[in-house]
Amino acid sequence: MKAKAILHQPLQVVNIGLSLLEEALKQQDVDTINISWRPPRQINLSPRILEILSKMEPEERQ
Amino acid sequence: MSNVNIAKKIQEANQLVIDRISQADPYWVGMAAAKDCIPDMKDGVILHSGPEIPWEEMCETQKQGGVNGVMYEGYAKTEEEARKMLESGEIEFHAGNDYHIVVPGSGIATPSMVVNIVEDRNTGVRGFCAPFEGPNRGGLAGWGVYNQAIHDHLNNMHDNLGPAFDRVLRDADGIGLKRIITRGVEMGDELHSRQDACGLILANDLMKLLYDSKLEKSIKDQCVELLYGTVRFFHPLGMAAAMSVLEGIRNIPYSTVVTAMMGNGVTYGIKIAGLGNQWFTAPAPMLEGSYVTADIDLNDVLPWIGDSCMLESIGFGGSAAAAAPAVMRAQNLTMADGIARTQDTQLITLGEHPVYRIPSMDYAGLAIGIDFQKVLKTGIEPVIHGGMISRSGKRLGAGVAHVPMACFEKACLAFGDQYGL
Repeated sequence: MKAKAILHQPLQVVNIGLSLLEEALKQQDVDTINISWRPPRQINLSPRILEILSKMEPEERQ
Repeated sequence: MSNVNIAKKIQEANQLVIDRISQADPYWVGMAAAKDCIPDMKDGVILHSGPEIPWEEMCETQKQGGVNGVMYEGYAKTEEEARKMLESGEIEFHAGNDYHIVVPGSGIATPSMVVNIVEDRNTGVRGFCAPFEGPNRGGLAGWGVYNQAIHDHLNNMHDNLGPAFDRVLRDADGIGLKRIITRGVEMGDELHSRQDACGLILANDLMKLLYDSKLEKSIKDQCVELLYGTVRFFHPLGMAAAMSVLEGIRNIPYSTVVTAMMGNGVTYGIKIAGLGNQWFTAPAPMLEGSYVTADIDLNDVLPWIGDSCMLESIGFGGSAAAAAPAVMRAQNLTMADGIARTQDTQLITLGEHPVYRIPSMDYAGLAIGIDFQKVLKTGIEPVIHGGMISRSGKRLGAGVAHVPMACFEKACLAFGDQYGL
């Protein structure tokens, strides 16, 4: 019931990433806050590099 | 050493680096022949762009630049003789970065060539870069090309105009570049592909100094002609300023910050503050961008060549793309693309410049201190703006490339070895 009720009141949208959706919502006068985000890139680091990077961090953060 | 201790040392070293970059106060203090002002520069030494590379692996563009440098200095009577002198090592041919000089594009620096001297007044460290060559544009220093007009221009710089500018600068106790760059960045310069605003502000100061000077009128006239005819007069000063700052953080044990990024048309190399003068190289990347003419053979385009991305190393150029909408437009991109480019740089850097600020990002400071740890963890390769150059030394257009991830991987492995990780 609550989910249906949302559709019958003014929407306030938080859009994450895709600016195309943000623009479409704004064109329909929907209040939209955009959060800039992109999926993390694929990184293939060698085990040795991962080991070094890990040792460079304080122990409490591991 | 425990992880806590090593992490603390890294953090302290990187903070020192960020402080030095933030507090740097570059001044254009003079002009002189390279051998008279660059430490270790001497007769018989020619400098090239990019990381050190053996003669036999060098691209032909750079080899020809070296030959042209030898011919300009008069060390050989023929190009064939010049080539043999370089090949045998009779004339030394080294990376300019190891001599604190920025050698842009496929350019060459020679002992008699006049260079700009920029000093970071905060550390006293100096950086150097040859001025662009007026009507000859890139000339020998920027593109490694050489002809009678370039020969005459360089000699005139050595005998007349260099000493004239030097006198004016010394009388004025130098010209502060921080104030000019601050305003220039606010006015649309990212200092690599565009430095129009900085150039105009500098010209305004310089004209007054020239007018008030006691130089002969004929020399003043030539200085004004050179300024008028050299559209990007400021570019070498920005690069020398970057060099003076980065040389000041060259050897900071434990720091993970990048102190150099550059290519030689074959390899691309970086240096890290905590690893001194070691190069970490990978194949040089190709640029993507807009060409100035339509009849370009893509096989004739060189992979990245030049030291000009020293500017990116301290937050300018591609790192500051958001500051320069005109550069984005020239790359067929948008303002939003420029902001995204700078935001990417923020993710791989350690600090924000307190003075150089970008209006389109609510006056956020330039992203400074590229950290190899962050590059590896995010997978974001630093973006670099630059000129596309042909194998015969012609400028083909402007574009963008990314510093290869392999450079950072090699740096990380060396860091691990050096610090016993």
